[in-house]
Order: sequence, then structure tokens, then C-alpha cells
Amino acid sequence: MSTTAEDIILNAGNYFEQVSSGYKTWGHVKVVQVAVRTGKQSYICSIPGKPIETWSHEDVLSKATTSSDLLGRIFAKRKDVQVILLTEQEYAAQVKETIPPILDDQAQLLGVTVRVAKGIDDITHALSGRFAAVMVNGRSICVGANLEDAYVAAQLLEKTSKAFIEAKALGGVKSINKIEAWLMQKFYQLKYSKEASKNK
Amino acid sequence: MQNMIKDIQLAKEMVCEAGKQLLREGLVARTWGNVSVKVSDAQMIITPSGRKYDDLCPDDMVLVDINTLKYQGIKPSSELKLHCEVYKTRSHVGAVIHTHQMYASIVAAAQRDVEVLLPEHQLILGGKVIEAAPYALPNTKKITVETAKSIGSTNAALMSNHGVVCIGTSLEMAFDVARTLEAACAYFIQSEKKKQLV
Repeated sequence: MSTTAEDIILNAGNYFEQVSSGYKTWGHVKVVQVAVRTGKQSYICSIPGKPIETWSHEDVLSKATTSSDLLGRIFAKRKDVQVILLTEQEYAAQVKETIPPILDDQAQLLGVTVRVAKGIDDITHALSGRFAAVMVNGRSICVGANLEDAYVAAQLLEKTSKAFIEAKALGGVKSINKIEAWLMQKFYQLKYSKEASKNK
Repeated sequence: MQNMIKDIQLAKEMVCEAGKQLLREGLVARTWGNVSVKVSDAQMIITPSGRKYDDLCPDDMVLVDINTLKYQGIKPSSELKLHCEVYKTRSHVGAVIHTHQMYASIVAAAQRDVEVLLPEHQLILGGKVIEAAPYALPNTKKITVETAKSIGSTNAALMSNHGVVCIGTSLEMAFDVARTLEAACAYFIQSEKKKQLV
């Protein structure tokens, strides 16, 4: 299992390169670290600080979810999360306040709101029931059940952030009712997202 | 109707390819958005529900009765009612696409109508204003009726906090409308920013 997880990390750069062209108008997303769960209490991650295209076997670290670092805390708290991306994003980095539900696809995939984590102690709260959060240092955390889900969350976070910021020129966003946003997320998680395999 | 595709297999191939094109052009992500073409006065071909565009083949496209919503094969896109409503109320329309494109989404998140400022954009979009339909939950009667109403005599409407619907006599025209609407929305946002600076 850990070999497969390592492959996910080492091939992540190629994957992002392959799929990112479709998101060219959505803003710039740079993935700076990838972590993949390898067991209930273990995960592997790329070492921080090296460009993704240079990652090799030596750059992958094994860790326990009991560690007190950012990634360990998320894996320990969120059993549904298999992949975590640490990103630097053009528009998400400018977000300094909670983004209310402003787009249906945001509500369905990211969760009711996008929160800003004040620090490492706040990150699991910021991600509670959600798949992306912005951090005060300008970086973002995006999570998912696999690499594709986590990367779509990153792109959607960027689209949502861009809409939130740019709409200020139009008088600001008008948000969706939070209960309706929550219902949409549940519908997406429980029904719509399963249609890819069922509707054949 | 100018460009109705009467060959069902050809229509399925075109709709399948159009779905992949939505993805390539960044007009949608993942499984969102949908495309249809009219194949007779009573039938359309539409993309299926919840499937990834990259995994689709022409035989996955769904033939739907525009009047009864009955279909053959796998489940059609959940937005099929909107497509049917457009075809029922506008006999000249041959293709409908629903996207979640970036700049139109910004305007839709602000629940603003788009002021189409450039004449060349007005020509393709069919008017000086593209209306934003009031917000409604996806797949509801309200979103269907209000969006179809907001199109009016133009070729598109924003769906507040959701996305856009673009229409044309052909798929090519519907895509042209989507691209032009994106440019018109970007221009409108820039223009509003400049007003704030004055």
C-alpha cells in the first residue's frame, strides 16, 4: 500500500500538469506539498520546500498521524481524508474572512463556507465538514478521498475565492441560504457523486 | 429550425464531444454542466447525469422526449427540464449548454444582470443585457421556469449563484455564446472596477 501511496506523490506533478489546462481561467494553484494516508495511523508526504517536479523517492517521508504537525492533525481527525494538498493560490491567498456559500458547486464540494484558520491549532476546526480551508499565512489546505478530489477542491477553492474578491466591484456577493447550502452538500455526497459508478 | 441534427447517432457523437470540449475550455469542472441538441421537434440528445466527461462515449448520451421527459438508456442530466423548457418555448433553438464558467460565475454570485458593453458582444449574445435569474435550488421547477424566462429574446441567462445557460441554433453557436458571455462578463467587471476608481 505504501508503494502505491508513494507513486501517487511522485506522479502528482504530472497529473496536475495534465488536468490544469481546463482550469486556466480559474486562477493559479501551486501545490507545494502532497500527503497520502497509508494506514489508520500512518501517512507519507513530500518534504516541504522542494519544487514538485524534482520530487524523488528520497523526498518522501513516512509519518504517524499522532504527530502534532499540520498534516498529522488532519489525518487523525478526518478518517474520510486520504489525500491532503498544501497549496499556494493566487486568489485564496487574498481571502481574510470566511467565504459564505456563494456558488452551488462550492457548497456541494467544499462545504457550506470556506473558513480561515488562524493557526495550526485551528486547522481541524476550519476544515470540519469541509474540504478546503485558507490559512492566515496565505497558504491553503485542500483534502479529499483521492488525489483527484483534493485537486478539484483546490481549483474550486480558487474559483470561489476569485468570485468572492472580484464580486466586490459589483457590490459584493449575495450568499445562498446556509441550510440550503448544507442540503446541497449532503445531496452531492450521498447521491450525485455516486452516479458516476451507478449511472451506466 | 436551421441546424437540427436529425441523425441520432451523429447527434450523440456531437454531444459527447461537446461535453469534453466544455471541460477543455474550462467552462465546467468535474461532472458539472451539461449539453444537449435537438434532434426533432419532440426529442433531444443530452449528456448523462453525474458522469465524468472524459469517460463518456457517444452511446452514453441520452435520447429524451422534450414533452414528456421520458428517456431511453441511462439517466439523463438532472438539468434536463431546463433544456426541455428552452426547446419548448423557442422553436429556433438547436442546442443548449449549461456551464459554470468563471467570469459569469462572478456576476452570478453578485446576482447582477450583465451589462453587455461592446457591440460585437451584443451581436452574439442577442441583447444589451443578459439577465440573472433569481436564485433557486438546482433541478427545481423554479430554476427551470425563471431561467427560461430570463433568457427572454437573448441567447443566454445567468443562474444566480450557480452558472449560465447558453443557447444557439447549433452547438457551435451555443459555444460561441458561452465564450462571448465570458468575455462580456470580464469586460463588465473591469468596467465596474474603473467606475469605483473615479
